Amino acid sequence: MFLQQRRAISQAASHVLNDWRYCLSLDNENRCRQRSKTNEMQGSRQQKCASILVSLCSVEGQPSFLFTLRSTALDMNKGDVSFAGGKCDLADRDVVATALRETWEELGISVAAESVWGVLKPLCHRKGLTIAPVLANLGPVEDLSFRINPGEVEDVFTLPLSHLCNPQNCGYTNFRVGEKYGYTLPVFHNWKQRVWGLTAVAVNQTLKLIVPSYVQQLRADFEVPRG
Amino acid sequence: MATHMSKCRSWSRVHRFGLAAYRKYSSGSGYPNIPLSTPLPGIPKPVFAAVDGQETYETKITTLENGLRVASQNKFGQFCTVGVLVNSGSRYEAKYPSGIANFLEKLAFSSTAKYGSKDEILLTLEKHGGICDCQTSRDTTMYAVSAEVKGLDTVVNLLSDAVLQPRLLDEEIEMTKMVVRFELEDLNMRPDPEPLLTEMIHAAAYRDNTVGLPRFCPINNVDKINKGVLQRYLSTYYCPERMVLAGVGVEHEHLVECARKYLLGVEPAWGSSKGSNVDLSVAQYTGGIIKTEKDMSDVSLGPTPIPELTHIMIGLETCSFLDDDFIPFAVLNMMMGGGGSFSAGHTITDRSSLILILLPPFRHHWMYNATSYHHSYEDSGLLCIHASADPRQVREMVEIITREFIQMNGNTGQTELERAKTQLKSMLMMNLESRPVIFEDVGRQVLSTGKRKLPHELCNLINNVTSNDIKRVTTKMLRSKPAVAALGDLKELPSFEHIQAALSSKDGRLPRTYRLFR
Repeated sequence: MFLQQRRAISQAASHVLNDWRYCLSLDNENRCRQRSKTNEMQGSRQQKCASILVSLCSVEGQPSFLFTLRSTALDMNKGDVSFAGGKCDLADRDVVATALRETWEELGISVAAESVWGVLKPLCHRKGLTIAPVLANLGPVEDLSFRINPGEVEDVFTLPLSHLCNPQNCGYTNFRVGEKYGYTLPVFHNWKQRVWGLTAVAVNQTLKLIVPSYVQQLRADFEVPRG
Repeated sequence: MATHMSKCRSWSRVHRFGLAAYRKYSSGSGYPNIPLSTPLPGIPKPVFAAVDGQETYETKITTLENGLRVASQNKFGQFCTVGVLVNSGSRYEAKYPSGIANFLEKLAFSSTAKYGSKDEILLTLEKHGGICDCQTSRDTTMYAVSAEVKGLDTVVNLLSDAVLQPRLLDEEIEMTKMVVRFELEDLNMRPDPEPLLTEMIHAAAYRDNTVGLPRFCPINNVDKINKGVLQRYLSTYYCPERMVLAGVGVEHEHLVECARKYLLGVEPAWGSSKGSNVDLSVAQYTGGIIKTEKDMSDVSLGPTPIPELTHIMIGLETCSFLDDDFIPFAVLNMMMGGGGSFSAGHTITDRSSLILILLPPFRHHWMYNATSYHHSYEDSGLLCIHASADPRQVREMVEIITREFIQMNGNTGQTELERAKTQLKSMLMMNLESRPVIFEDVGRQVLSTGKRKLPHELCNLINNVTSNDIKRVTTKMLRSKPAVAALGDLKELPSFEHIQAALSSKDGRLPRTYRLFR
């Protein structure tokens, strides 16, 4: 049964190959902006709130995600793959402003507000923090010049959408909460390091939105319960 | 050394008493002055066994129609070891109550469809001079039988019955509950806390997922496990694609024939295996700390009491055994080595092991034990150092461990590296002389990769490890978050943040703290 599913997915994947460039087209952008309007967070200046910039870009024409590798000098989540982002400041107008400010501080690139496609459904961190994923298209990565802040970011790298949608690179992990099964989180493999945790959840949500024929091959819907 | 001393003795005697006192130590006068390279006269010529090409050195693997793999390695001898390995263990228990693997291990080889009780099984095996055993670990369950080769047919029949048709009677489950409760009590009372610490370090390193799930049944779950739960688990995980029938000392064709007879087309006791809800979770290394405050002052009273100790285990992420970096990590683990300061008969020859240097009489008199372990699974690995000392020295002990980790990243001497490589190769070859170990090696390798790397291939890989490889893998390892397990009196234990800071620093020292009352 499982083998049949995998065969169906690989057939779908080859069909999707023609759709990759469509993902960053204006048509798709408008569709995604429309869909994400329903995710506007109420009271965007809540106390315990943070935001990340889920960055799309294109590498030699191939639509890709732009990831950061957190510095090993940090205390929290050191060495993990992540998106640029951080806690909301009182001075920020809304979560989008937080994401853009943090991207400027960590990577040294200024992202125009028009590049932001919208805000995805908020993610709940284990410790009660709410994280808003802000989706933006940074354009061709060759046109960006990074000024990385070494105290927070060790490296910046990209992964193409085709790689992340390949079922061979996707996995999942079941987690327990207390003594019972709790939740499931996605994992994406690549030859260097894994993308896991809330970063992987954000990637998964984005793929569901922007890739028209993305098949949710894993039965679980990746949601971290509150608390 | 002995010959040198005897030479000294006889020379000094000649010197003191003259030639008359020189006496032969051997009373035989028949064969004086015959060198060992000449055969003794009048004795029949010995006939030595020769390699005549019938010994096969490769492992043969066949896959049956239902997905079951049969692997065998032939070996000269009257006895063989045959068994079934299943890809099942505590790491797959996320959606079940923990402890199923533990129960299955204790319930193995009990009553089945054909055999009324464990005694019947043992009696049947006795006729072929055989024994049986089951062992579970976090990712594999092994059912093994060692018996005469002549009894292969009976053995495979028995194995198929034990694995696929257990009856799981109520009284057997009740008995198993008692056994499990006793085992848990025993674990908590032992002076050697190593199994407890291994559980804790895995739970700390892989928080709440796969390999971090408890391998021993937690005391609250003992009553939750019943026949229904066990059968639900068995029907998901005990399917032919997840099993290997491995044999050592048997003819491959004979084994395949027995497998077809007894393991192909057999309906298991729980109905047909679906194998669709299998948990394919990837092990997620999280790092973290788990502490257990425990009074260890009365752990081993008696004629030679063990002093009160606090035990610490600090671990870092390495890589899976399928990774190319696995061999360099194995060499690194060998270099660290370790052992107890009072382990009988152990000699430390200059720098044969970096950790043993930490123990008395070399440097720190109060360090009781320091050992390094390397656990490796198909998607991740963990290298940890276990140290124990008096509770008042916990802070210093932790600092020594963190400094050792950092120093691993320094320049390794060529002699140390070569010695570690030779030790690893010799340990590998020595272990692989034993039939049960060959059986486990064949079974596990075929289960996870579908092929088997032969010992000489592994030796080649070990030979190719350079000091650059060691430096590279150590740097990779030090990037991961530490996992800490602590057991005993923990008043002096530094905080997790301090330990993490020490492992990220250049010299491995803990951050300075200023306390008013020491």
